[in-house]
Amino acid sequence: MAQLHTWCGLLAAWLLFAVFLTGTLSYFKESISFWMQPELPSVAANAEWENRRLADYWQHYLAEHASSARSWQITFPNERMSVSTAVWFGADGREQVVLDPTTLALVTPRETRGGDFFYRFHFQLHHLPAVYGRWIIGIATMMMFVAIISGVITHKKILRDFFAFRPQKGARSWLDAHNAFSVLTLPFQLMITYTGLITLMSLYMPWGVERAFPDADERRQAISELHAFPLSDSATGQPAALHALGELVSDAERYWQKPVQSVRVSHPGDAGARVVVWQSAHEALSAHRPQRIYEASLGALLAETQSQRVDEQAHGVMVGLHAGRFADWGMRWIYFALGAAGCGMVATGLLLWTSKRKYKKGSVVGIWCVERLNIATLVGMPIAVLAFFVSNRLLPVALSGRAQWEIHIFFAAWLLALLHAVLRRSASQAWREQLTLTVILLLCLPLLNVLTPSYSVLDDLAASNWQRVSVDLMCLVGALIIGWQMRRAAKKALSRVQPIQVAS
Amino acid sequence: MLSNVSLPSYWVLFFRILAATLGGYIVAALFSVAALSLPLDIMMSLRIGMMGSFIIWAGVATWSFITPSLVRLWGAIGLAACGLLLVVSYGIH
Repeated sequence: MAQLHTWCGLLAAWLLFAVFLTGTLSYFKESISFWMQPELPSVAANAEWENRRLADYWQHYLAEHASSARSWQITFPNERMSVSTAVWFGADGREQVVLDPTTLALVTPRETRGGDFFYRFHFQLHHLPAVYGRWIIGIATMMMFVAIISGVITHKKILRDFFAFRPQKGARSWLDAHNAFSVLTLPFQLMITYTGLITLMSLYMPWGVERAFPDADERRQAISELHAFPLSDSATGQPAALHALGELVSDAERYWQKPVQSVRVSHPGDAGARVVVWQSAHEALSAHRPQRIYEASLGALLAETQSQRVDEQAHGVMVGLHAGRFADWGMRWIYFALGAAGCGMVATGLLLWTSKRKYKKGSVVGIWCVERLNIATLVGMPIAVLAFFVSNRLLPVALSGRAQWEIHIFFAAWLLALLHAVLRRSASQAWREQLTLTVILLLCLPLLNVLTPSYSVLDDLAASNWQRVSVDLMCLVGALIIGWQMRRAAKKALSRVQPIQVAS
Repeated sequence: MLSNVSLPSYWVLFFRILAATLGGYIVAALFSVAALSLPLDIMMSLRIGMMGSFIIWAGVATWSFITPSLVRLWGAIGLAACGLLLVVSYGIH
């Protein structure tokens, strides 16, 4: 059982660390995107807008600029997003326009994937067809699930060890740290692993649906019903005028007495056009957001999601718990901390593996590989994330393909970290150098904000807009923690070396 | 236990890993299809089958490394698979 835990954990750990890190960042993906686009207006505390007016604005704008698109997707502002966006797929692929809701003026922020890059990466990787990425991560998640279960079985004295922490005792300390991270947050880690599998269950376990619905169209319909995501009907080819979107939005808001978050118009300008209106995700735990579907030319209500059955609720709540979209700021920080503990659990598990085997006889090559991969993942991955942030500030705003360059720099930094970890003769030196680089990058980011034309930290602080400032503050906190730990480690190493020098 | 003695240890490990991965997935997948025979609404049966299947898979994978006898391990997986197959083919719903 202990063997299963060790090997299942080890083989999946590097990928899992990357998934945990980017997934944890995704809890703040709007804030990260917001930080990465300093051109966007900050959310004023007393900002007022009417979704109805925004919907009317978008209707005019999109009818003029995107009349031939397959569908329009309009998102309204909320406490985490200060702007309203419209997305459509036109002749040039995906296009997006951003609107300041208070002034009704279009804003053109710098091109970046922002927090969305981390969000996509955490379940389908990058540079790979999405389906492969999702399967790879699904397998790693399954291994994580097995590792957690076998870890609990291994750890029989769970309560007694829970109170034991033996610092500065080498492998023993890593074991205690590993236990502390995993046992304290066990319910969260189990939940996040299992619900992660549930979010993509139609991909991993399609057999039931295939058996029940042999016809491809019916199957698509069933899957859309399983995930409570309405399909768009096909176009009829007959032109038809579009009903006022603003009226549909206020109709839904009147009915729910709750704000609308987004609107999708499929086949605009066609007689078969449909308008789907979604309720805000902040209103309920379940990820199955209430929705109302309207016929687009007359504005008649076609369907609305009924009060949910127990199985639907169960599925919606599981996906909702995973994504945490319901969470307000306080809950969001708790999610962030628990995700960070997940990173800590994977990281200490990896460090425990090497520290247990380092001074024993055995495969030197294996330990060498694991240790170098540990460096390239546990420090290299954060370095890549920070390089992504730094490139966002340093790349010219007008650079074409800017968003892609940021991603190239992310992977280039990761690759360099791997090369450095492999080529450096002494592992401890590689650890030290990469950690130092991390601290430097963490300190650079807030500094870059002052030096490069970006948002004004002081103005945001004065208006108590914490969303962007928090990113800078987290960088400083991270730099402090790593710097402090490195100093402690250096002192300890020094006191360990000295007695030997005296003896010789 | 007998079978373990006659097999070299890396084959034992290989068959355990195979049971945990392929065996576990097959039993889980069959469970997700067999759940359709539950006398419930089709969507509910589908959700129960899919959401339960991952727990079944994790259970089989863990058990593959607990049980001492390979014969018993594969016997149980085969029995479970056959039972579920019967439900899949002759299920009422």
